[in-house]
Amino acid sequence: MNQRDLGLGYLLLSPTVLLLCGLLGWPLIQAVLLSFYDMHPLTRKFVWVGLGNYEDLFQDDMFWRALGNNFIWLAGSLLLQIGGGVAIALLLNRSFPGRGLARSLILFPYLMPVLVAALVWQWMLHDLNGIVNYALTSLGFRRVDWLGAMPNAMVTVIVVGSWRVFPFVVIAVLARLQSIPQQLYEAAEIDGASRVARFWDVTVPQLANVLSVVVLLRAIWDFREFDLIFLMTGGGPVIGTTTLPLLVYKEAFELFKMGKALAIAVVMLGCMLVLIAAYLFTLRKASTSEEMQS
Amino acid sequence: MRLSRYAPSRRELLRQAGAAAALSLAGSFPEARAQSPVTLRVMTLQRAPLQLKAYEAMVQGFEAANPNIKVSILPVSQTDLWPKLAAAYAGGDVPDLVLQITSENAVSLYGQGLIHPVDDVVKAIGESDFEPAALNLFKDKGSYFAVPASNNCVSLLWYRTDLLQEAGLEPPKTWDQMVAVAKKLTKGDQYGASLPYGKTAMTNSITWTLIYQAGGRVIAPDNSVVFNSDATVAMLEFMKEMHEYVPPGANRYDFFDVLNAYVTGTSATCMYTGRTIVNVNTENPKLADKISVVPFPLRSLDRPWWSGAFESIIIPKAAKNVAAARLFAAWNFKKQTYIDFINATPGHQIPMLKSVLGSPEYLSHPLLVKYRKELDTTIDTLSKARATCKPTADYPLITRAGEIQNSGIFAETIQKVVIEGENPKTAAAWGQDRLARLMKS
Repeated sequence: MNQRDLGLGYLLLSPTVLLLCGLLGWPLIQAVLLSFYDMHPLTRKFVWVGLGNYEDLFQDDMFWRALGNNFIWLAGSLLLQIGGGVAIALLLNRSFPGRGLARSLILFPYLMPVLVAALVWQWMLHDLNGIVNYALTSLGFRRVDWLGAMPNAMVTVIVVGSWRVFPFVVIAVLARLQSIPQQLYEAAEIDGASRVARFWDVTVPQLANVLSVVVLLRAIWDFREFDLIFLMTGGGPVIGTTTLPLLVYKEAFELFKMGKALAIAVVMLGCMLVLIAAYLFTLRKASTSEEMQS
Repeated sequence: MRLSRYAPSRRELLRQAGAAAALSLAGSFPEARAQSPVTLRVMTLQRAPLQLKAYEAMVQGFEAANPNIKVSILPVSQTDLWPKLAAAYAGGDVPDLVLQITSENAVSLYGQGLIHPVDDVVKAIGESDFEPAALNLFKDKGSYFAVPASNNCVSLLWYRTDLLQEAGLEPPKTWDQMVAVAKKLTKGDQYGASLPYGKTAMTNSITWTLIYQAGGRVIAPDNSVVFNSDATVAMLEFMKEMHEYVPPGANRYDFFDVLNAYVTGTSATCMYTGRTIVNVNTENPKLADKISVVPFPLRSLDRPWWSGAFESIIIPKAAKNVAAARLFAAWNFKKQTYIDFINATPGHQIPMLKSVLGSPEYLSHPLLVKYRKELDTTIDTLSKARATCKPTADYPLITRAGEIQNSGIFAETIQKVVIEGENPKTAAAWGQDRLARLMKS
C-alpha cells in the first residue's frame, strides 16, 4: 500500500473515529474528571475535592461490602450459567424426539426483557400470592422470604440471573459440540475409553477455547449487571445484594454524591479493563490454537 | 325576529362555567394566554388508574379552554421521585410542574432554591379558602413556595372489625396494645399486622412518625443530626417486636404491598391511608363491611403525634413554561375538577379547600357516605397531624427532609435490626453516622 492510499484510508476512517471519540471518549473523560469533584446532581454545584472521593470510598465499609457482593454475584452466576449451560448443551447435542423444539424453547429466557423476567419471578416468589410459596405451604412447609432475607436474596438473584442468560452459554457450547470431529470419539472408543473418559479427554479439551471466551464475556457482562438486581431486590436487604453498579446508583441518586458515584464507576472501569484485557488475550490465544489445528 | 326560549343543558352549563373559569384564571395569568403553543410537562405522584383518568378529564377541559397549551402527564412513584428529579435537573430537562409532591420533598427542593414562588397561584385560587395549617407550612419569608393540593394520612391503623370482635379485642391505642393485638391475631396463615420493612418510600416516610411519637427528633432546630436517641431505639424495638407478626415478605414491602396484605385478608390490621376504602371495595368486597380505622397507636397517650403528607404543587425553577404551569396549577382547583380528582380514590386524599371539604358534592360520593365514620376519623386525625419536615408549629423547616427520606438510611437502620439482628442502640448510632455524612454534603 503506498503512502497516498494510506492517507486516504485514514481520511475515510476519521469521521467514524471522531464520532466514536465523541460518543465514548468524551463521556468517559467527563466521568473521570467529575470524580475529582463533589457534585450535587440537583443544584449542579461543583466543589473540587481532588482525591477526596477516592479516599472516602476506600474508607467506606459499604464500598468493600459492595465489592465483595460483586464477586459473590459474579462467581455464583458464572458457576450456574456455565455449569447449567454446558449440561443443557450436552443434552441438546444428543438425539431425542422433539430436540428441535427443545433447542428453540431454550432461547426463551434469553429473549425475555429483563423487566418482564424480574416481574414474573417476583410474582412467582411473592410471599403471599406466589406459586412457589403456595407450593411450599401445600406441602406443609413454611413460607419463605426469597428476596427480603439473607442469604436467600443473593441466592435468588443469582439463580434468576443465571436462568436468564444461560441460553447464551448453551448456544455457544452447542455450536462447538457440533463441530467436534466424530473420528475423535471413534478413536477413543477403539482405544477402550469409557464414556466419562471420552468426555474428559475429548469433549472438555475441545470446549476449552470456547468456554474460556464465554466465561470472560459473561464475566464482563455480569460484573456490571444492574437492572435485574435493582428490580428484584433494590440492593437489599440492607446492602446484602448491593453490587458496585447499585452502589453507583445509590450514591448518585439516593445520597446525591455524584462525584463519589463516579469514583466508584472509575474503580469499576479499572476492574472491567482487566477483564477485557484477559478476554482479548484469550481470544487471540484461541484463534492461534485453532489456526494451528487447521 | 323570533326568539326561541333557550334552556341550556347541564353539560352546556358546565362548559360555560369552565370557559368562565378559564377566562377568570387567564385574567390572573395573562402571559400564559399570550404565548405561542407550548407542551406543558406535568409530573404527578398520584398514579392510580382512576386518578390518571381524572387527570385525563382535567387535561381535556384545560386544553379546550387553552387551545395554545397541550398537557402531558408524567406519573412517577414516590420511590422514583428523587432519582427522576436528579436526572431531570442534572440534564436541565425538568418538568414544568410537579403535582401531589409530599411536603418533605417540596421543602427540600425549596431549601435548595430549586422552585418558583407561587403566591399568585394561591391568590388566584383564594388564599382564605385553604386550610391554614397547610398554607402556613408552605409559607416562608412572606412568600408561598408550594400550593397545598391535598392531604392524606398514613398514620392510621385499619383493622378487621370481625377478627377483633372474635378475639375480644379493642382497637389498639398504644404501641404496647398494638403488639398485643398483632400477637393475638397472628395464627396460621393470618398475620396480625402489615407494616413496611422494605428499602422503600413507605418505610422511610413512616420512620419519622414513629420517632416523633416516641418523643424524638431526627434533625434539631440548629440543623444538627439527633437521630441517635432513646426515641429512635424505642422505635427500632417496636418495629422489631412487630416484625414477628407481619407477613414474611414484609422486608420488601412498600405502599402497595402493605395495603395488599390487608385487602387480601392476609393481615388483620395495616397502617395505611384512606385509599384502603376503595381498594377493599373494588378488590375484595367480601371485606367491605368488616373494616374500620383508628388513628395509628401512640407510644404514650400523653404524646400524640400523627403525620400528614401535605401534598402540594410546585413549579421547578428551571421549568420552560412557567406561565402555563401557573395556569394549570390553578386549574387543578376548579371545584368540580378538584372533587373529581380527589374522589377518584375516595377517602385517600382529603381536600385542602374549606369550600370543598364540607361540600355536599364531595361528601356525596357513595363510598364516603358508607364510610363516613372512617372518613371523619381520617379528617380528625389529619386536623391534629403535622408534616414530618415541621414537627411542631414553631419548629424551623427541615429543609433537607426529602433528601434524608430518600437516602434510605431510615429503612436500612430498621433492616439492620430486624434482618441482621443488630442491637437497636448500635443501629441507631450507625444511622446517626450515615445521616451526619449526608447532611455534611
